[in-house]
Order: sequence, then structure tokens, then C-alpha cells
Amino acid sequence: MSEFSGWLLDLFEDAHSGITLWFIGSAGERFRLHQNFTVAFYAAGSPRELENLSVFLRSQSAALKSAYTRRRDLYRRDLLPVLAVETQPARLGELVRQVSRRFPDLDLYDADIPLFVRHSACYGTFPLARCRVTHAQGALLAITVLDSPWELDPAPPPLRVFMMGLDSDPRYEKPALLTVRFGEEEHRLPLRHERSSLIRLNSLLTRCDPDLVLTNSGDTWLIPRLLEIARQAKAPLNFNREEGREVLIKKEGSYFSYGRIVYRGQQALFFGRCHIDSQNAMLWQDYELESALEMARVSRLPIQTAARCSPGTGINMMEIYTALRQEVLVPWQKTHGEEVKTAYEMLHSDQGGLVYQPTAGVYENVGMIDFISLYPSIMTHCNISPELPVPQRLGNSPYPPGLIPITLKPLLEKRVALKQRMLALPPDDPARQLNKARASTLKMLLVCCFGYMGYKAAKFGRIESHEAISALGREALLQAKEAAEDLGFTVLHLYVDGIWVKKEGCAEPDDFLPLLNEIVDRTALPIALDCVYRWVAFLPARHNSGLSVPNRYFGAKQDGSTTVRGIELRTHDTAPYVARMQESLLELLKSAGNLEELHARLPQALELVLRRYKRLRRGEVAPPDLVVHKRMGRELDAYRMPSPAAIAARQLEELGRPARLGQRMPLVYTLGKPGIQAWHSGMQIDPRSVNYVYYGRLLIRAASSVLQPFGIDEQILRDYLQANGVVQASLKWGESALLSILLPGQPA
Amino acid sequence: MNTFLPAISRNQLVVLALPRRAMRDLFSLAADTAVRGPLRVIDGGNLFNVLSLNRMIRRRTAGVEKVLRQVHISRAFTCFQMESMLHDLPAPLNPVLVIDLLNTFYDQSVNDATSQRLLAHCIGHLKRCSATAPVLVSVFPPPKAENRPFLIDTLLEAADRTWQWQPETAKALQPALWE
Amino acid sequence: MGRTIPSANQYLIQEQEAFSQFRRALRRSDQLVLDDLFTSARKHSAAISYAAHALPFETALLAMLLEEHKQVVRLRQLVEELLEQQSNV
Repeated sequence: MSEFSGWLLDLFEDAHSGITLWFIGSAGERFRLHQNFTVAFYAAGSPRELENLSVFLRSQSAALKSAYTRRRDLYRRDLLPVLAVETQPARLGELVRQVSRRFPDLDLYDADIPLFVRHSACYGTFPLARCRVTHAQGALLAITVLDSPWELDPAPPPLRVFMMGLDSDPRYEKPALLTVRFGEEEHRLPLRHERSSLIRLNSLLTRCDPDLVLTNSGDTWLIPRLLEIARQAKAPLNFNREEGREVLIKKEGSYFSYGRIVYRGQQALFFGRCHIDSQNAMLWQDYELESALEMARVSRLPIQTAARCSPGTGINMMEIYTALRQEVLVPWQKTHGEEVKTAYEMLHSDQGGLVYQPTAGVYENVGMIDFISLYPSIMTHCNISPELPVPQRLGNSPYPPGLIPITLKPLLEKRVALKQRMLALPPDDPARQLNKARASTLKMLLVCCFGYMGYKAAKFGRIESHEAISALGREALLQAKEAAEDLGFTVLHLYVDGIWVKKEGCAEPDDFLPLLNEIVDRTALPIALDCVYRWVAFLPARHNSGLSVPNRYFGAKQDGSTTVRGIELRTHDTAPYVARMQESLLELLKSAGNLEELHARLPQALELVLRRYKRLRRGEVAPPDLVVHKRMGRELDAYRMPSPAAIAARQLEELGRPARLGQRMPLVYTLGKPGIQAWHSGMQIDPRSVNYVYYGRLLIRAASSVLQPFGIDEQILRDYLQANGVVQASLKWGESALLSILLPGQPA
Repeated sequence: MNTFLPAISRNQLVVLALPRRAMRDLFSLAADTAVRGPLRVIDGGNLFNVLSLNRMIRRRTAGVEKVLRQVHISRAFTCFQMESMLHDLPAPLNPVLVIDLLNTFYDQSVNDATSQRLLAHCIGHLKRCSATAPVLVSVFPPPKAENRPFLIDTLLEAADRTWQWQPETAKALQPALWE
Repeated sequence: MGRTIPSANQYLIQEQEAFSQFRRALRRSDQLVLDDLFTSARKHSAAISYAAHALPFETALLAMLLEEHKQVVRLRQLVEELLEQQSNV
């Protein structure tokens, strides 16, 4: 008998019985152990059907044991009589399928719970958990988990990471070079020498023996391609640590679900190792690997699955874990439907968050106050859960905590703790990145849990609870507004979970403290001063300057940074050149401390726009800087009048590069018909065919988005450009007004 | 739509086929019924916009809120939920209106066999309900991506009467400018 | 997720369209004033939504009146100031 301490890397069902676990030992060794572990599902229904099931199971070798018992269904008061069926993990899927086919009128529970989550509920394990393990002859005898997913600073496991990069995107151009990196080494493998490169790759894999394999396009192209080469060359390629297993390729699929086309990409999954494809990973864009690992820890899904799953799935897993711990049945296909209400009641309950139309204009010394994770806080503090009566007001609940608050509480606490800790860290501290990555995963999960409560396919959802959270959110926001107004503040804007306030004489964070305290007193919910803006501009709606839009604004905070929402540089369909122009304008404005300084910078701002415009019209901007991304929302043949995205998609299809529904199509606006040219990297576009006039208009529009709050709209911009040498014919015909910008202090 | 639910006879499963643009007429029908007494609505298509109903009610009476309290609604977002709601309807005394019965049955996260089985159950429940109260089931043309033609076929076959929607030809009278 | 009733903004846009025939028969200058009225209602879409009235258009009318009265108060103040200035001269 031996013992070691280490980290749990991977866990999956053994082909015959029990499960296989892979550990990273603290001394650097890797351990593979087997553990006896069975799983159970439950069936409920009429006594006769259950008896028939019982008889049927006796003839099935997969069913090890079945017994009548009573278990708790979250949505019922009494315990539910059920037949519990125990089986080996590898046989569960098939057995469930058979039972549901033969006995369609029975309700099944605990039928689709991932193995790791089950193991977690029994032993407290989770991916990368630090454990002490006792084993003998390859069998795990005992396991003690030494930390928890809620640890702020888990001891980092010595993960061996193997990176495979390609020199081009296989969607558009066949890659020629595979670059492998691990540790300090870098190797280049030319893909045209298939066999020799494959042999080299395999020897590198064997030598490195990685825990994680990171690729780009590994799921969709690289891994399947390499496996194919290996097959044809009859050469070994050991992606799996686990012998005797094939790499699991889960096929892609598009299916129609709940009124939308949902696309799930292909996945290539390893055994004993984890493959993460940065193209396919949900959280990759922001903070890479660490975010994916944090998702695995808190959701208790295997690393490979966690990296690819959506936050909704993550929340689902967390709720399932709580249910298992509490011995609450996890429904399989049926979900709880809406309770009957009168149309009058529905009128009041079917509402969203409160959103003001801010009064357009520029304001100084504005405090932005928001509730910390409002909806999750309400769910936790007000104890909102499907099995509990819906609370009518903010405040403590007389009931013991329900399933949802129990699930969310540690998530909320860790997020707040990480956030507070980051405030204390110096800006260049390396730990910042790590904390930020973890915090961003937790934030995504929290943001999603409210929606999940109202989601039709949620296992533990309930529309009435969802609506109650929304109602209490409105109540909290209104109470915050009232507190602000009672204390003499003006409420400039109000948006679901935050308010923008201003008061004469309040310019420093401390000046807002009495208000924060007052709000906490009234609502009993955590709230914070997000920042104080030296100045903030709320933008009018584009087509109707009498209205404003709730989330179009920009401003300079006291700490020197800027916040920008809703304008062109934030949207995906803006050309880089135009976005950069806006960024430069904001850069110019952000150092202004007040309104007067802002206005003083306007002449410079105009000159900047003029320079950028002239460069554009002279054709000095390369096509890649003008690429715009438009999303294709329907199948190609569903369009009557093709949108720009559809035209681009068709062009790409003709080039043999089919586009996928929901994808963003890169394109450039060109002269003549069709006015659109699909674009991909490596493509050459004749600059003379680019519609620079149209881009000029886009540039003017983007410039006016920033300058409009200061009195400079598109017309004035056009007049200015004209007055400074831009050829008249290219601007819109209209009265050419003499340029006169009214600045404070200047004569009209 | 110049008929209302209580006018539908008992023991008949009536299916109304209408295009989505005719939703107003369905609200008109619901308003006509609700003004006269309680109405039970099961919405399978997330279409029950109370405000549209209110406009229709207002044309018939000033006491809109009183009428709204007579309309009992629940929304089904999966075919399981639809079957469950119909199963849970005790022998109803008040008219029952089902909006867009088939919508949730096209969802491909549920397989063909289950979808068909649940629909058969629903039809059974609807027939049972029609013994004590008028029942009207509305359906819309199926979405383009559908590949379950058996759903609409099964329903129409089980229906005792099928109504096709007719656009109203007589327009509302324009008040004269001068007498 | 379970939302069926349109937002106040969407509702107001629908109501505005419902009055399109009325608008069409108005003089152009009056049309612009009517548009202004609807814009002022939309400034208060959050409150209209929160009121959850069975006939939100009635709440919208109140919002239009609110904005109108704000203008009246402002103008009244302006007139008083001007009169005071005049009498001081």
C-alpha cells in the first residue's frame, strides 16, 4: 500500500467497471488508478409500470441492483416513490436509453449527470483538486480532498503544457507548418512531409508527456487531420495517455431548438490528457487557460468539457451538484412549467429591469453606483429558490436556505473576495492576471444564473422565481434612486442594477459614502461606488436626437481611464481604421478634467478627423484596415434581399469556403455592384475598387458619435471638412453653412 | 372572426389553422369570450401578449382589468410542459383556448418518437376536456426548418372540425365627416 | 426567457404606428409636433413599463402631459425673469 499527494487531472469511466483516474503527483510523477464506483438513476411512475421495469431489469446484465425507495423531488412536498437502479458508469447511457424506450411513460431522474459531478458529490473531488491518495496495485483505496473550488489561492499544479500552432487558418488556407512548443523548446514540423512530421510529433509527445495539449483549430481540423495521416501511414500517434482508447471525436451538428438554429462544433477529446482548442473555447478570448481551469474547478466538469461549455452549463452543473449532496432528484427531460396565473397578474409580473432614458448631454463629477451582482445577491440574500414561496419584498427570509442560494453563495463570496483583493494589488503585480482570469469565469457564471432560472430547459428553474428576482431588482433600484434623491442627489441615469448620480460639491469618492450607506440600510444588498467620472457624455439616439439611448455613453474616470459603451469602436461591425479614429479622439479628450477643458480640445479633435478623412479619401488606407464584420443570421437561401453578410457568404462559398450560420462575415465595401467583397487573410484587394467615399461617410458618422455631445453633429463636421479643402462633390449636397462652432467664452 | 368559444359545441376537437399575421383575430376571439366569462388559455408559442388582448377588450368594455382577472393563462415552453398542462386540466367548466399547440413539438432536442407520443397524449387530454367545455386549438404554419410533417397530419386527422382563417372583408366603418 | 409582453419602448412604437393615418392627414408642421409628443412619452418608458397598466397608452398620455407641463413651468419662469429684468431697467 502506498500514498501520495497530488492533483486530480482527469476522471472517466472504465470500459468494464468503475472509473479511471489520472493524477499529477507533487513529485512530478503521473499516476493512473482504478476505482470501484457505481452510479444510479431513478424511475418514477405508476406502481404497475415500475413493477414491469423491475422485471425487465432482472434480465439486464447492465443493471446491477434495483430497489424501491423514496426520494425528494424539489417541486413536490411529499417524497416520491421511485425505483433506484444501480449500474456501472460505462453502461449507464445505454441502459437509460433502453429503459426510456421501453417505458416512455416513466419519469427518469439522475439519468444524465456527468461522471465527474457524481464523483464530486461523493468525495468532494473536482478537476485539479489537491488530494491525498492511498493505493495498491493500481487500485485507489482511499482519497481525501485537501482543498476546495472556492480556494482563493489554490497551490498551482505543475501542469505540462504542449502547444501546437498552425501558420494559417485552415478555414481559408491550407496550413503548411505546425509549430510545437513546450517548456523552452520549439519545433517546426512541415505538414507536407506528412509521415516524418508525424513521427517527430509522436516522439515529442512521448518525451514531453503533457497534461494539457493546446491547439488552434484542433477540434475541427488539426487533430482529425493528424489522426488521418497516422492511420494512412500506419504510424502511432499517442494523444491519449490512456492505452487502448481512441481519441473521442464528437461530431458537429446544427439543430433546430427553441426556435433557433444552434450550432455545436466538432470536438476532439483525449483520455488521461486534456485537449483545449482556443478556437472552440468559450472563455479563451479574455483570459485563456486559467479561466478554463477555473470553470472546471467550480463546475466540476472535466477540464476538456469545461473549456468548451457555456456558462449556462456551468451553472446547471453547480445546481446538480447541490441537488446530489442534498439527495434531491435531478429531473431528466421534464422541466417545471409555469403555474396558472390570471392575465392581470401576468401584466405585472412579465417585466424586465428598469432602464431610464438618460438626458443627453455632458456632465461633470458623476458617481456611478451599482449593486454588486444584483440578481445573484437577491437570489442569495432573499432566498429565492424553486421550492420556496416567492418573496414579496426585499429582506431576510424566514425559511432555511434553498437549493439555489446554497449553490450561489460560495460563488458570490469568492467573486467578491477576488474583486476586493484585486483592488489591493499593485497594477503590475503578476498575480493580477491570474485573479482576473478566475474572477471573469465567476462573473460569467453569476451573470448567467438569473437567466437560467427562467430557462425552459433548466433542471431547477421556475418562471415565478425568475420574475420575483426581476421584481425585487426593480424594487432595489427604485429604493436606491429614492435614497439618492432624499440625500439631494440628481439621478442622471438608471440602468437595471446601477445609477448615475450627481450633487453639487460631491466630487471625491468619499463624498458618495453617505449615499452608499443609506442604500445598504434600505435594501440590505451590497452596493459599491464603481467610479467617479470627471465627465461623462450621454449620447442622443442616432435617428432621433430628442431621445437618448440607455447604453451609449463615454466618459473619463478620475483614475484617468475611460469607459466607452455602444459607439462604433465597441461594435463588431466597425472597420479598424474607423475604430482607431474614435479611439484617438477619446484619447485626446480623456485628459480633459472638466467641461471647459473639453471644449478647449475640440479644434484639435476636428483637425484629427480632417487628417484621418483626407488619408482615407486619398486611398492611403490599406484594405485590411477597412474590413467590417457582419453577422449572417439566416441560411443563405432564406434571404429574399441578401444582406451584406449574405452576399459575402455566397462569395466565400463560391471560393470553396462555406460559411456557417451565425458566423460573422468579413467584408469590404467596394464600388459598383454588388458593393461587397468578402475578405479573408492573405487575399489581395485592388485598392482602386474600394468604396472610399462610403468609408468616408462611416468615418464622419463615427466622429460625430463622439463629438455630438459637444455640439458638433454630422452636418457641422461636413461643413468643416468642406471648408478645409475636402472636395464638395464627395459630401452630401446641402446648404454649405459657414462654419461656426459656439464655444463657451467666444462671441457668437 | 365573428364567433366565440362558447359557440363551439361540446365533444368536438376544433382546430383553427391561421397565419401568424392573423394573431389579432385570435385575440379578438379571446376578448369576446373573456368578456362573457372565464377563459383558460394555454400558450405554446409565447404569443400571449396581454397588451394586444387589452386593446381588443377595451373595444368591448371599459372594465379591462376585471376581464383580465377572468383569463387564466399558463405558457408551455417545451412539449413536456404542454402535455403536463393539458394533463393537469381537470374536467374544465370554462372554455379552453390553446395557442400554437404544435410549436414546442418541433424542437429537435426531443426525438421524433417522443414528440409523437406526447402529441398523442395531448390530443387525448383535449378530447377529454371537450366533453365538458368548448375547446379550441390554434395552429400556425410550421417553421421552415421543420421536418416533422406527421405532427400537423396527426392533429388534423384527430380533429373533428378544422377551421381555416378567413380575412375580414368588411372594414371598420369610417365615421362620416358631416351628417 | 419567458418574456411575452413587449417592452414599453416597443409598445410605444406600435402605438405610434397605429396613429399613422391620423398623422398622415395632418399638416407637415403638425406632424413634427405630434412626433415630438411621442418622443416625450418615450422619455418615460421605464415608468410606463413599471406602472404595468392594462392600457399603457393612457400612461403614455400622462407622460406627454408631464413633459408639456415641464415646458410650461420653464417658460413661466423665463417670462417672470424677463419681466423682472424689464421692470428693473
